[in-house]
Formats: sequence, structure tokens, C-alpha cells
Amino acid sequence: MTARDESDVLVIGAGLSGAITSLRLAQAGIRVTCLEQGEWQNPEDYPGDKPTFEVAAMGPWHANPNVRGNSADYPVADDTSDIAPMLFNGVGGSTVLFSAHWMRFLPSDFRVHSLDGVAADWPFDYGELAPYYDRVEHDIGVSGIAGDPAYPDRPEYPMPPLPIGDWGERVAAAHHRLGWHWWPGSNAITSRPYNGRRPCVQRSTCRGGCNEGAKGTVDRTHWPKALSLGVDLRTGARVSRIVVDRNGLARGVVYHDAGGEEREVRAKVVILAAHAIGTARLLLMSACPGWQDGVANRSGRVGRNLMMHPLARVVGFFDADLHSWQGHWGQSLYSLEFAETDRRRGFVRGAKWNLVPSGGPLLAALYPTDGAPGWGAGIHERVSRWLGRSAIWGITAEDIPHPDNRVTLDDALSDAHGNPAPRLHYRVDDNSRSMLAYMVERARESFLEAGATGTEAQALAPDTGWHALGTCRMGDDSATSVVDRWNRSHDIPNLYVVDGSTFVTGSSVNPAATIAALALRATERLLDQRRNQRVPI
Amino acid sequence: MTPLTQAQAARFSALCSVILPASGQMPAAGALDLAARELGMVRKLRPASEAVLLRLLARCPESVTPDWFDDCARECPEDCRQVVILVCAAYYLHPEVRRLLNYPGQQALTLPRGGFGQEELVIEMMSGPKRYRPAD
Ligand SMILES: Cc1cc2nc3c(=O)[nH]c(=O)nc-3n(C[C@H](O)[C@H](O)[C@H](O)COP(=O)(O)OP(=O)(O)OC[C@H]3O[C@@H](n4cnc5c(N)ncnc54)[C@H](O)[C@@H]3O)c2cc1C
Ligand code: SF4
Repeated sequence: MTARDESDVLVIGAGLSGAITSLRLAQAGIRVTCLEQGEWQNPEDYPGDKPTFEVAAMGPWHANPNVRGNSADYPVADDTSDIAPMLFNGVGGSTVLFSAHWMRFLPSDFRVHSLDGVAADWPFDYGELAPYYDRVEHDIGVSGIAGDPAYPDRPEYPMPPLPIGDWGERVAAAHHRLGWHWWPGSNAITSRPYNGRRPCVQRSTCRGGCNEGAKGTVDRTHWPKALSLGVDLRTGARVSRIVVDRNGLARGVVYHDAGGEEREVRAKVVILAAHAIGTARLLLMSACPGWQDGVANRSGRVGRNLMMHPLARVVGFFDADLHSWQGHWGQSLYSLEFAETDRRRGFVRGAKWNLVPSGGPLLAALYPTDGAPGWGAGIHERVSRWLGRSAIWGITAEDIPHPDNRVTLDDALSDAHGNPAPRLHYRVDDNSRSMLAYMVERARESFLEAGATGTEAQALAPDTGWHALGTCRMGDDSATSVVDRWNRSHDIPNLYVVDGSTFVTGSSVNPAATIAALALRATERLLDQRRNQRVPI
Repeated sequence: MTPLTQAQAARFSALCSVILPASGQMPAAGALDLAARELGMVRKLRPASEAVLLRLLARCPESVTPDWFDDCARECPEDCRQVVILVCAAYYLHPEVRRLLNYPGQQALTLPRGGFGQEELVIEMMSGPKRYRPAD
């Protein structure tokens, strides 16, 4: 018999959005249970302070769950996708490995259809989300400097910006001469002691977890507080279905505990915070009589409109020793020069550029740009040009949502508990391809103006699906969206989705700040309305 | 993870020198006895490459040449790619290679006490006009 217990609110996923929601609910005195399929990470295990860091980042600490293959991971069928999935399963979710670029959406990002005639508008505007952006920045600990003319006015950041680096200074001066936008990077990384966290030591190993606790990962910034307020966080708990009762309400979930036993938790409210891939998968996996196409999927939109932020990289080589293997692997600086639509360029919407240091010798030897040597003496030449003497523009394209870009369930592949794996169907469209081709040429110009002696580019980097979004779109119309403007399911009034799957459009900027702000906003609303719900809490 | 036999180690070393031959001040990978230490460190982190390496070593002729490796990469590109990764990973872990490159590994540094860099340009931009697209 399935063991059973109860909670007021059940949160699925202890990553970015799950942590924010759980903590806020607990602060309001709500009884919360959070189920997380992964485990706590021990910072001592992170590879950043070990000589083998670069090798570990390509294997056991790879961001692709199919490469990493931890027991907490579920496989993702991705041979029908131009871009591979990148995420992390464990307490802290993908923030454990994220690069911590902390960016607000631009005002135009909320009005893409009205302004550019593509995609759809969000049901609210930048101004409505701004106060939540302000709050989460303090909780996560963000460094940066206010005053960027590419944004509306905003309060000062909790910490001053990190150094932009020698490479950043060169590129900043070049953009000044070109009349192009740039701004010191805003990062969820400490630039001074902050809430018991040490400042960043610039080891540049953020993508393998932060050994120092300088990076704002929610296992450090949120979970300790949430636990002290009584949240019941269960790790090794993989949810396999959401249970809906005869009245059309979510009754709870069924999961496998760390010992492999099947259990049920019942709750008055169920909140999905399982990442845009994991959440769509779970709703589809929960199909049952009355919900043949998946739970909360009367619109048929669950899984659709997947956005992945296609990415290009341009490397600039300098004739100077910049020690560019060091520095935060957040962003040294960013440019929004080409973020807004200019139809003369031959595409709509735009891209965000972020300048980062250039990694160690293994990355230099193997990185697959248009000038990659493969093997032989060319590798030595590549490494001597690259190591410590280069910087990288990462260029993130805003991709327009398409219903055919989607998450479905795979017929053959399954996780360790026999649940079907998600399958990604994602094709980079012509708009994104033209955009990236244009951006690569501009980024080469940027580096050459900065004094680079040469550049190499990767026009579309396939291993970069860090920003999956949009698979449970938000909207006012229940026929075309999965959740309402407050992240509540149109179909099931006590079911919420608070992760990045609710994005209507993806912007060109990194999504974590907006996921965080959105999760906080949804939770505040839930608290506000808790007595007026179909099932009060 | 079993250590390479003497014959396998000899082939591995020949293969290493095709993948990373000597160039300028940099030694050939085959001259560094990577099988003694660094290869083991890498294999531990890439256990799936183990079988690939042994398979490729079994195919190696008496004398491994760049032409042979070229052919091999056409026939089994993924195996060769994996072995290139193994060899490069082991090579760039070797202390002598790191010394020659002047690369001490990723270091913990103290943040500079001064500013973040190019402050004057930032101040100038701050006083310029707003440049975001109106969304109303
Ligand atoms: C390598 C990398 C770099 C990135 N860099 C940046 C960056 O610089 N800036 C930025 O803004 N964003 C970045 N991102 C993206 C950002 O980290 C994510 O968008 C964000 O963490 C998503 O939040 P989430 O709450 O939706 O999901 P996550 O944080 O991924 O959390 C989801 C959690 O749900 C759990 N879960 C899923 N399914 C189940 C189930 N069935 N049962 C139980 N638990 C489940 C997972 O184990 C996971 O812990 C990066 C991501 C990666 C992987
Ligand atoms: S560079 Fe800074 S934030 Fe990144 S891992 Fe190192 S200490 Fe952490």
C-alpha cells in the first residue's frame, strides 16, 4: 500500500523558483512540503579548486544531464533538438551550475506582439514586476551598478560590480569609440562579504559549482532559512504524477522516495517548480481519465512554445597577457546594443551579448570554433594564442516561440523509476539564424576595435540549452495558455506553475532574475488570496 | 580501471605524439609518460572513455602516423574525438606542460581594492539619454 501524508502546500522542485516560493510561504506561516528528486551538494565536492576542474566540467559536472548521468538525473531525448538541454537536478536546481548573470527583462520584452507583430504579449508589464526584481536581488545577493541607460531607473544593487577585467576594459573602450552600448556585468556573485558569504575569488569555475559560496545559489541563499522556518524538504523524492480528484482539484502527488518506495502526499495547493522541461514532462506524465492529454492541458499548450535561447560565441585574441583564465565566469560586462528590433537587419527582436573570460588550456585546445584545429601541432598554436590572451562574447538570441518546438514524452527512454523521459523537439528558425549570423559579424568588429589580432566564431553552439522556457505559457485566454497571469492553472484552480515554463516570450537576456521575480509575485498573490481560494489555506 | 599493459602504453604514447606532437617549446605528449599518472586522473573522471581508448589502442598499427589517425577519424569519428579529449586532458594536467605555459591552474585571488574599471565611461553613459525602447 502507498504510504501517505499531508501538507498545506506541496512544492515540486527545490531549484530557483521552488526555493523562493517555499521560503516565502514558510515566512507567512504556511505548512510546506517540497519534493526534490536530487540531493544536497557538498561544496567540497565541487571541482573548481582541483587541478582536474576542466576535465570534471566535461564529465561528472557537465550541465547536460545526459552526459553527467547522475542518479538524480532523468534522461532527456534530444536527437530531435538543435540544442542540448542543460540543467541541474538537486537542492538549488540549475543555480548550482549557473553562470549567475543576473539580468532583468527589458520593458519591450513584455510587449513583443504589440511592438513587433510576433509571438504574444505578457499579461502585465515591466513596471508590475520591478518591485519583485528589487526584492529577489537582495535575497540572492546581486552585484552591479545602477544607471544603465538601456533600462528604466532602478534602485542601487546590493553590492558594487565585480571588476570587468583587462579584457573588459579594452572592449568597453572599444564600444565607447563605436558608440555601442556596454555596461558592467550584473551578477548573482558577491563582490564583498554579504549575508555571511565571502566575496568571489575570481577562480572562474562557476560552471562547476562555487566552492566559496560567493555565487548566489538557492541552496545557500534560501534553503537554510526555509528549513529553519519548518519547510519539510524531502530529497531523493522523484514525483511521477499529480493526482487530480473527481472535482477537478489537485489532490497531491505520487512520488518515489530515496529508498524507492512509492508514497503519496496530499495538499490543498500543489505548486510546480520543476524547470520548463521537468514541469511539462510531469503534467504530461500525469495523464489519466478525464485528463487524457495531460493534467492542466485543456488548451493543448503544455509542452509547446519551448524556447532555448540559441547562442553563438566569438573569441577575440589579444597580443597581451591578460590572465584571462581568471575572473568570474559570470559576465564581465554586457551589451544590449543589438537587443531591440531593427527591421533593417533582416530579423525581428535581438540578442544580448555577455563578455566572459576564456578558461584554461583544455578549453583552449578543444573549443569547437570555425578555427578549431582538431589535433596535431595546431593545438599548441591555438593554446598559445588563446590561453590568458583572449575573451569570449557569448551572444544569446531571443527565439520566437513556435508551437512545434516542444517537450513531449519519449516512447522508449525512461528514468530510473520507469517514468518516461521528456523528448525535446526544437529547431532553430530562420529568424534566429539570421540574427546570430549578424551578431557574429558585429562581435568580430567589437573585438577588432578593442585591439584583437584575430577572432574565431561558433555560429550556433549546440551545447547551450541552459534557458529552456515557455512550455506552460501564461496568459489571460485559457484557450491559448496554461496558467493565468498569477501563475495559476486555468483548468485546475489549486495548481500553480512558478518556474520558467510560464514565460510568454524569452527576451534575449538570461532568465533567472525573471523566474525568481515571477515566483515571488505568484507566491505573494497566493498568500493574498489564500482564504478566497476553492481550497483555502 | 585497469592500468595499461606495456604494449598498450607504448601504443598510447605513439598515439599521443600524433595527437599532440612537439612544437616550439612544447614537448610531444608521447614524451611525457602520461600513462603513469595524468591519464589515470582523467580516466577516473571519464569512465565511459575507457572502452573507447582500449578499442582504439587495439586498432593501432605498429607505427601510428598522422595519416593513419586521419583515416581512423573518418571511420570512427566519435572514438577518435573521445581519445583526443583524453590525451589533451592528460597533457594539460602535466606539471611540466603547465610550467611551460605559465599556467598555475585556476587560482583563488583577492578582489582588487580599486574600482571595477572604466568608471569614467560609465559615469558618462549614466548622464546620457535613456536608450530602451518605449513599450507603452
Ligand atoms: C549551466 C547553466 C548556466 C546557466 N547560467 C545562467 C545565467 O548565467 N543566468 C541566468 O539567468 N540563468 C542561467 N541559467 C538558467 C537558470 O539556472 C535556470 O533558468 C533556473 O535555475 C530555472 O529555475 P527553475 O526553478 O525553473 O528550475 P531549476 O532551478 O532547474 O530547478 C528545478 C528542480 O526541480 C527538480 N525536479 C524536476 N522534476 C522533478 C520531479 N519529477 N520530482 C522532483 N523534483 C523534480 C529538479 O531536480 C530541480 O532541482 C543557467 C543554467 C545552467 C544549467
Ligand atoms: S569565480 Fe567567484 S562565483 Fe565563480 S566559482 Fe569562483 S568564487 Fe565562486
